[in-house]
Amino acid sequence: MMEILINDQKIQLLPEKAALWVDEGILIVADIHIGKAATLQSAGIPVPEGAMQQDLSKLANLIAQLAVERCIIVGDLIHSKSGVTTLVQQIFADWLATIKCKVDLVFGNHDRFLIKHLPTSWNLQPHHQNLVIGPFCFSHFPEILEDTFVWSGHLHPQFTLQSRNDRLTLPCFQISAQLVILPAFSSFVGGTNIYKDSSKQIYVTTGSEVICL
Amino acid sequence: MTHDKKLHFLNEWFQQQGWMPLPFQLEAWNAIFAQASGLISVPTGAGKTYAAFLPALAEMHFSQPRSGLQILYITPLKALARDLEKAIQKPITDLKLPYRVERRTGDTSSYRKQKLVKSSPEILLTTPESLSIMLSDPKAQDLFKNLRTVIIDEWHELLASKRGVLLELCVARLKNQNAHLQIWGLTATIANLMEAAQVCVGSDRSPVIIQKHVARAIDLEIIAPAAIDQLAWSGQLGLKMLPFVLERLSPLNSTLIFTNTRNQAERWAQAIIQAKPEWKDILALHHSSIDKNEREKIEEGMKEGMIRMVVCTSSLDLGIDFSPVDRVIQIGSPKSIARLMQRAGRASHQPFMPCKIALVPTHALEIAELKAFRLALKEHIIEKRIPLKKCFDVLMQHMISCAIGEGFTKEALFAEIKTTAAFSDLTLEEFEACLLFLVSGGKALQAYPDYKKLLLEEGRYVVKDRQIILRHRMNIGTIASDPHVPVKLTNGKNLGVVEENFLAQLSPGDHFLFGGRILKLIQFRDLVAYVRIGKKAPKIAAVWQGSRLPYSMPLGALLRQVLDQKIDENHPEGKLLNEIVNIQQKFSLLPHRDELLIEITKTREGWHLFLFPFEGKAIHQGLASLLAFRLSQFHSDTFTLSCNDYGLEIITSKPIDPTLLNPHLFNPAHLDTDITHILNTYELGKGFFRNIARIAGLIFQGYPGQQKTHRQLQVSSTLIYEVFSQYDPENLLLLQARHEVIENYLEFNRLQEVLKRLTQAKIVIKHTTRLTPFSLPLFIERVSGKLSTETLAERIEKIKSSWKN
Repeated sequence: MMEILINDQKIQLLPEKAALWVDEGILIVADIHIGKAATLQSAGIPVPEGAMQQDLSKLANLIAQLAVERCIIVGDLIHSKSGVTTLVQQIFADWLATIKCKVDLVFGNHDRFLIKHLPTSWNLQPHHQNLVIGPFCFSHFPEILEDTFVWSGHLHPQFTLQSRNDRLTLPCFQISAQLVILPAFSSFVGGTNIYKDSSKQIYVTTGSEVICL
Repeated sequence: MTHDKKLHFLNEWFQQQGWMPLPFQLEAWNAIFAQASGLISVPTGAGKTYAAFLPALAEMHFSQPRSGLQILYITPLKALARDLEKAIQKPITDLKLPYRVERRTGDTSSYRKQKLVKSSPEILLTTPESLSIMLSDPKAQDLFKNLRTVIIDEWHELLASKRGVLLELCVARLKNQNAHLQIWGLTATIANLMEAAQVCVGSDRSPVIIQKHVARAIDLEIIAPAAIDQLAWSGQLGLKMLPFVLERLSPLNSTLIFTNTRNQAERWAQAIIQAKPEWKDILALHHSSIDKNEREKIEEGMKEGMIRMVVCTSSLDLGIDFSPVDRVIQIGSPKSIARLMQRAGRASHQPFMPCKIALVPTHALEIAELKAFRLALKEHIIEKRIPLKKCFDVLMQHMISCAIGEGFTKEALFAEIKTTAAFSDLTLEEFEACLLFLVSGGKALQAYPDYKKLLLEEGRYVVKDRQIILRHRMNIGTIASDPHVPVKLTNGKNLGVVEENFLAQLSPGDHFLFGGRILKLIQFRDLVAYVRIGKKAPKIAAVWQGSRLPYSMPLGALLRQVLDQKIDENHPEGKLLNEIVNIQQKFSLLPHRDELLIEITKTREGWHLFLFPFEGKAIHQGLASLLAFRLSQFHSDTFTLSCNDYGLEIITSKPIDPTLLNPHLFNPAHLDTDITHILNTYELGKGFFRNIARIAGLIFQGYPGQQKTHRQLQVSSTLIYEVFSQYDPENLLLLQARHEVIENYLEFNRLQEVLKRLTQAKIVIKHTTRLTPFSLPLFIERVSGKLSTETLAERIEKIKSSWKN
């Protein structure tokens, strides 16, 4: 875990690829992409859904451990329309019922299907527009807004550590003056390579540790 | 008798051309008239096309007339198809035969492809992938029902690859439809001819082998500078030799300059232009990452004589006949005898004339390696091409193709597949596991009853989903391809591709060398690198991974022989090599061929152990890890490893007890258990799984213009690999990836042979006070072996600490 200050707010960057807004008790995650395996299955690619279940139980543990009351998903909860099968719907509805936490979803580009077809069994609060709480704005797309600090996802940022003999790519948080881009929470998606420059701070996560570069 | 009639028919056409059939051609004609199948092995340019095609044509002409497709001519390179079509068309036009010749490759328009099915030509030229696509057409049975002969050109190119396995499966399918189908392969010289022939015709036939023994003379020159100081002691670029190469270049001679990597080609082209700016318009750069249209322009320019010099890589090993190539220059060792012969053969494609090739050493010790090629030519030694076995990825792709085509029954397809050499020892259990995976997703998807890809309908396995059919047909093909990023000028013009890893080192505004041009990176967006022509000196030249050529097996033995013989000074390089071995002799020792030299030196870095088995870098990598593991049982220390094609280096902080360096260290027993300690097969397997997943249809790469619609289906093979490893660890494709690590990366069988040799070898230990000609290259170009057993945290620490230095 790595604690930093953003707009005078205490923020913990968690190795599980999520962030905690300490004083408000809000957990922030991005890009969960549930139903990705089901999407692939519908196209004839035989991949089991195990990663989704593991991701969800990881998130549930995090919520319980940190005893947060609110969790904000900044977009791309689902992967695609064809991935929202009856089974996936059921699994996620059950999951929502077991966690003791309010869930907000700011729609991302992959969530288009949910705009009109949000399953009634899913007990969560959808947001068609950016969600603003205090000094922060929660948006799927990374964007710079005046007078507010944006929490976003979408890019699935990752960083490649490199030496002469070795290279290793790890998911990362990218933080600049007015914007955080969170790593994708899903363990079953690829990423976008981020390059270092003076305008941003990069924190990679190994799964058990967050390291500032 | 029809036999004589056919012979007469062909002889007459030969006479019209002013030719006499060669003995091997006559032999082939007779064998084909006798309804045999087999393999014809002759050097490039000796006339093998007419050895196989003409008698097939005569067969067709004098037999009971049939309609539709009768001769299928398969070539590994679609670029060859056009020239072949001309060669095949000629006798048909001359003899006014009523046959049509067409070609079908990935470049054929869909209109032409449809026409081919509706009214098929008598003779069709195609590639293995296009054949596989045709077989996945429900009308396939009609198209191929009257087929008489299949001719497979350049079989040596396909034999040791998954493309070859795909072709074996397709040919078995054709044979099944047509019991009397004749199959003929054409190959350049290889060592395991009998095996190659058997794989070509299938394990259910006895092949006839027709071989022309006289090899084409190769006029081999080794360019050696006058003094040893003019050569580098290590390195692969070899730019120090530029003046000697320039001496041999002239706009009057058309010349191909072969390099071993694309990066090296970029650097050499740049260096030549810098030295001779006046050659800017007559010199071109040709490699596989340069845009196809650009390459075709260069090939045309070469044919027309506008372009006089081409710096190229293996992209020009095969392919287009640029009739007038006067000479070939090879920078560095070609690493295999077959490649040397192939490249030399590009100079003067006229039969009976010796091919001229000049080899340029890139560092001092390489002279010995180049001399090993001289020895190989003298003693007619050449490599084997080992055919692949049990590639489940290719099998699964083929099974889907069959299901999309006419559908299949389990028993019939199993029997058919068993006739191929690649799957002759496939068990019913393995076949059923493949089938289960394709039908229901295998064990991992037991909980998902909705999943289906193959359906069982009236006893036949078929595919019904239109999308699956479409995607499968787009995905057929087994050539490996890494994720590449297109390079485009800001006006949209395509220049070629680079690897994403290379791009990751660049920031916008950086200059780099690509395709012989200096480019400035403008931006990297939506997986396209946009560039402008730059003016500044480039920081770096584009690098492509995996471009190192594998070191051939017989080469090591030849090299040890060269070093063990008295070096004749008839050739200019002999004197230079003598100087080098004298220095080696003075400060260490020159090993006899039955000896293994171990040098021990101490530097500030620690104790260096240098071993020189001369078996190639890949083997040395496995060997170094194995030795480090075995030494660590008795000697607790950190080991740093490095290797090159000649030897390996192990660095420790404390001196190793010399009595540990005994034959027992090389004992081939327990190799299989020891490798589990030295190899991280899980991590390495990811790399091999990428290609496997693509072939088996687990990842879909999309196609131009269609990428958006399939974006949701994009998933990296690594993610699938991890999911399978966790939820379906017995998956056949996973097991195949592990198997490929052991066989292809570690080269298990060959490593075992090497260990056997080393246990027999006499170990000579030399304590040296300084680095020797043998050890210096290893020391300089140390690419230290990544120890794959390190934990994530250790790797991160190491990477971070390397930044501080």
